[in-house]
Amino acid sequence: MSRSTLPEAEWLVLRNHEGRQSVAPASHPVPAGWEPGGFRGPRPACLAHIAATWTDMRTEALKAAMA
Amino acid sequence: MNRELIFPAPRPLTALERRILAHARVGELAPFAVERLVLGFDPRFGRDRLVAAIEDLLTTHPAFTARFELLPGGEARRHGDGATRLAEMGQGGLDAALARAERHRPDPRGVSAFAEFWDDEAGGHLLALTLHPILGDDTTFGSIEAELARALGQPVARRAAGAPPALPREERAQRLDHWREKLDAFAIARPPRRHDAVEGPERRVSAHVLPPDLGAALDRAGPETALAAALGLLLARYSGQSDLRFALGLEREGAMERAGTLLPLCLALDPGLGFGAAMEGTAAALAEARAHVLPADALVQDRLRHAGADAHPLGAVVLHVRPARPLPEGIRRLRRPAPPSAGELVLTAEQGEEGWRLIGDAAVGLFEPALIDRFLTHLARLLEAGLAHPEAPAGRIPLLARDELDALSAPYPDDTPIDPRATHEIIAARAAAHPEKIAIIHGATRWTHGELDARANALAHRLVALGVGAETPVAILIERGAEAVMAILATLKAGGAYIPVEPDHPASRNHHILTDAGVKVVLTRGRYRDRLPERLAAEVVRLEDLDDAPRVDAPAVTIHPDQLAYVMYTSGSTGKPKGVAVEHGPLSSHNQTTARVYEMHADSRELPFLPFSSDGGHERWMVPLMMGGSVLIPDGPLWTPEQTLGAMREHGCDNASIPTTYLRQLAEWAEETGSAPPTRLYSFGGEGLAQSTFDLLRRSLNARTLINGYGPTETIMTPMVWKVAAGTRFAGTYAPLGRAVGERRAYVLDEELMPCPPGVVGEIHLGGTGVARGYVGRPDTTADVFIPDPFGPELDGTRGARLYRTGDLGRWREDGTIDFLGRVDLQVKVNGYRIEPGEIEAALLAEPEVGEALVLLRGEGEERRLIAYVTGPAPDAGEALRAALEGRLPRHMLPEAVVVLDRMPTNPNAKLDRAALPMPGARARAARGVPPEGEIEAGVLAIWREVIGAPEMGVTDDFFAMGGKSLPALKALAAMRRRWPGMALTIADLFDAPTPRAIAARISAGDRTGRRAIALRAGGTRPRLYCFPGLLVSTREYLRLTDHLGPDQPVTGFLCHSLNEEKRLNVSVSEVVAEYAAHIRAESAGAPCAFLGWSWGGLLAWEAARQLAGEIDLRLVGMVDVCDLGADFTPGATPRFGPGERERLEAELRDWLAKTRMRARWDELIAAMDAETYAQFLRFIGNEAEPLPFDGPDISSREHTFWVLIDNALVFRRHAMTRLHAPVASFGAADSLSRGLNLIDWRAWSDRAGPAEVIAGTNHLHIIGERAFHERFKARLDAAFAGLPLT
Repeated sequence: MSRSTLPEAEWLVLRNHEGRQSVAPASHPVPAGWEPGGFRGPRPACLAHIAATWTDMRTEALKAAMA
Repeated sequence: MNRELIFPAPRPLTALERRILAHARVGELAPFAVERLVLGFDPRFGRDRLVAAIEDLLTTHPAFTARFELLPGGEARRHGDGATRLAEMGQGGLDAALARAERHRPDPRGVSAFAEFWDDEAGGHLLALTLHPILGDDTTFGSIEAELARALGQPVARRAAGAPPALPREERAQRLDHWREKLDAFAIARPPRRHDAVEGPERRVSAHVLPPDLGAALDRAGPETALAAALGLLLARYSGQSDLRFALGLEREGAMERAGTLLPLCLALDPGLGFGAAMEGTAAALAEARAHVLPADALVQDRLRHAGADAHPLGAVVLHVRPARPLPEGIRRLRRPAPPSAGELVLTAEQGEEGWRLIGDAAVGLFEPALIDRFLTHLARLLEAGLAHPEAPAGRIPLLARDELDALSAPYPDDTPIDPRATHEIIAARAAAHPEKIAIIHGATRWTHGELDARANALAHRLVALGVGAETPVAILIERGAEAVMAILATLKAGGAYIPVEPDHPASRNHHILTDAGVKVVLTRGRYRDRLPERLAAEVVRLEDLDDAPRVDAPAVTIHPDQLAYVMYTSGSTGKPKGVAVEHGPLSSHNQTTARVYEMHADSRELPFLPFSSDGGHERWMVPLMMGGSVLIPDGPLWTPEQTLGAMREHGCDNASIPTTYLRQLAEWAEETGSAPPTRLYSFGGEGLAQSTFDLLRRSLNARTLINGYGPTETIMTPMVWKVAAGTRFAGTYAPLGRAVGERRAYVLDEELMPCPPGVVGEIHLGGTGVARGYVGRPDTTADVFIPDPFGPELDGTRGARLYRTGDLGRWREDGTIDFLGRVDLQVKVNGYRIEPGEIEAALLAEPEVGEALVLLRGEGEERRLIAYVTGPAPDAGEALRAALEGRLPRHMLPEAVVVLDRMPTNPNAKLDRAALPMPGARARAARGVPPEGEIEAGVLAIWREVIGAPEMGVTDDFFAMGGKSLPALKALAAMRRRWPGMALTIADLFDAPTPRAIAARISAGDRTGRRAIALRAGGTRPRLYCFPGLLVSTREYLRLTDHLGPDQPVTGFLCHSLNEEKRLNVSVSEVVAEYAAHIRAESAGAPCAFLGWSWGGLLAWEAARQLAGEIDLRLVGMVDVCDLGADFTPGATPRFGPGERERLEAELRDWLAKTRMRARWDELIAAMDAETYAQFLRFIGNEAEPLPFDGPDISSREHTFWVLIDNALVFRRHAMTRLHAPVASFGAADSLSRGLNLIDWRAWSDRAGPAEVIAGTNHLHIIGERAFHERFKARLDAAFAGLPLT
């Protein structure tokens, strides 16, 4: 494992059009369809951020349909 | 001509020349080869001028004037007074020149160089040169070219010449220390081997031409550093190792110089840094290696001192970088020799007329050809991208092209459009079309599609009334059966999400599930009421309370594709079960494509054996019902194989889905009883399916198609399958997982998330739309394992897709299917080597009696150890299996213990229950420590404990299992004799009765074995093999070979004469052998048999063959590293002494004799020497670096060993070998040849002997225990015994 993919390296919270969230190393290109979710830091910190903010795991489309 | 290039005087051979001569003597040149160079000259060089220049070259260049004088004892001298004649061949082109050159068999004992001159059609000329490798190599040809160019008046630029200065002893020792430390820290890297790898002599060469602009970039960057850095990075990705080593050929130039030496290049490269940084690191490592240059042989010999050393201690992969060697205008190099094949993969980067080429010379037995071809391609890709963007992370350079990744990751082809309806909507549509068709058979219950649908509708309306709608979790606490299916369909029809809960599962688990997911309604039976948590905030509906009439209409509920269909709780190995949430869209899509892969139709009837607590169990009822078919659901969790097969036959099931753990029992029953009904399809999955089980399925289950399904719950049921016609065989340990199903792709990725090349181990990732939403209430855990998919957008245009990290290790096979190799968290690193437990399992499964194997790392922290579990063999076979592994696996991969189980434990989901696997007790090898009874046992035990150094030993522990060897055995015997002077026991008794209790019994009974032979394996159907002992070793050394030869091969080992205390001085070889011969005569007169002799034992075997000629049917004599007397004691080898040296040595000998306690025995021995032998003895003493030893006369003392050695030399000096008509298979250790030991060329003694087979990576002492030797000897023995009737 390289230094840039170790958990303590810098990672990004990413979010896709469906509202799903995940993490990726900051050194990697952001895959198409994902965009930075406004948080960066070590991997555990990114995951803690997701735990705190992604409280409704339904997709945006389903939320709209159920509204 | 430069006169200093010619040897003015004869000289002894260099170490390399000695080695090559040793190879030539035994008839096996490899890894060296005959060297050939062909030069083409255009017409500008006049014929006469050219011939004159060449003839001058042939009389002056040392390669052509060498002559070898062979001396007694295997020594030789090189003279410079030989001659090579230029043969003028007349008309001919390159083909003719090559054809002739390739027919030459140069021999240092005869003609060792050939030169031919041809006139080509265009008026030009060709010069073909053929050299024995002892004369030189490609670098030597460089000097020949330069001399020729100079003679033609067109000198070419040459780099500085010169031999390296000799190293002072101290400096040499320091360098050796440096390398020892390095080699211990950097593991040998190699591309992945094929699963059945055996290194044989066969090689395959492939080439890859670099495009001109890449070649130019390489030249600018510095070819050696850039190529070495790229190879290091590539090997890191192919092997998964970070601190690694490979060997680098350090080239040197100079008239007489050969190519320099091989040295290990130890690299630690960070894939997160750029190629530029990798080049800097490599340049530093290269400089360090150059500063510590040592002869390669010295390093290799040092490593091979340890048994179990890697066969290629410097590196399995060797890189040679050969920049352009300029030639004058008008001369072309048409053929150039390759470097020696001294590695598993020898890579040569060579700059020629067409630019840079990469040439791979690989051992065919080790690597898939396609893998090596790709390796070259990937090396070029890495170089190209790395040199173009030296700052970009090197670990992110793609090795696979887009189309390769597309093909490898692609799912089963399926063009049928996906029906947008949800699973239950499609099932309902089938019911509407054919309500009368049977849907479910369960015990006495038989429901048609219409009945099932109507009942589900009724319950669905009830659920809607209870408030169930989109995203509402409904628990199904009902045993597997028709009603559970109905309840699930009702939940879906109401818009809710079902959560299956097994009534039989532990209450703590079920309570966690019911509370974790926020269940709103529980569908159950009255009798399960007490299994619910006390304060559950959910409506509980009991099936027996339902009295709503079945109805044809479902509630008017619209299903959104992102809406939740079910939550399945996984039985994680650690922590609490996690709920995996699956949405309707991906579920329906998965079921539809699965139906097509499984070729399901309206008449399919399936027996789904999988439990409802696993998602696969639900796929296997949903899919048949969606196709309008039916299912036979077992009415109990524990049907016997007989019940299962009977039910399938009775109900006409045409397919069955079975957990792997149950499948084996089923197949065994079917094989025993021949009771398998004809079946279209068996599908299975859940655990790795071993080759032996798969073969059993093929044989015993009467099925057309087999499907191995794989899939974590997180990727919905079975996202990957391997579908094959019954009869298919697969190469590997476990059945392949196959490829993806539906709108998914399967990838094998490395730690940088880059796709691994086929054959390379990485983590299996599954991507596409067919993955779960995530874990209920755990967004962080979800984000941790469902990661953004970088490939989907590129390959399928699916933006924003996710990849699931499975935590399973796999590798792509050539056809894009994926092999399973175990869990990522079980992968361990030891000394830098990455260990896949799957590899150890493979070795265990290769043992004939092992049915299933599992290897785990158990324990915590420092206490972690590798434990193997197997089923199949006898309960006490663990230690024997572990011993068998020692021959198959490198030491770092040996499990600490092998535990034999009746069956693998399973959890309620029919999955392997790792926690239920027992921890092994103390190592089986450890002493049982039974205390002694009586004085004799106590005395024997005390002696043995001290001799072996095992204070914990007890009276029932085995001398040899406790670490005793032949010499300590003799020591123990001597000590016992001192204690009980009248004791009649011999060494044979110790081999025969190797526990203190058994020996004590013999001592008290006054018994003795008195035999010279030990049956290493008493019985067997094949002709007997007799093993003759080497000097100071005995029969135990043949045990591993005996194990390898298998239970049908009887083996007898003779005890070593020198280990016999009654040894008389100056006994003759024929006297020693007469006793062995008598034994063989009594046992095998007239019958076929074979001999094996290791070291001196080979001479004994040959003498036995002579004495028994005509009396036995000798099918083969195996000769293992049998050396003749060296120059030390060969008759006729007159020793040389410096002025006064002889007198000085005689004085030293007198002083020593005055002090030694073995005086009398030495006097006897010296008295038996003639003048020549005495002189040789003095010379031998003078050559010894250490002072003469005083520690005799105890056995295993240095002095005693020295005495035996000299005595033995006297014995063999007097022994005359005879030519015999006996079939010989001879084997040599590569290390012995590299030391120039005087191995016997058996072709000189038998007309039925061939060249020796050289076993790489081993030495004289270890060859007898080497797996590579065992395999080759077995092949020869099999051939020798072929066609003989078995007894």
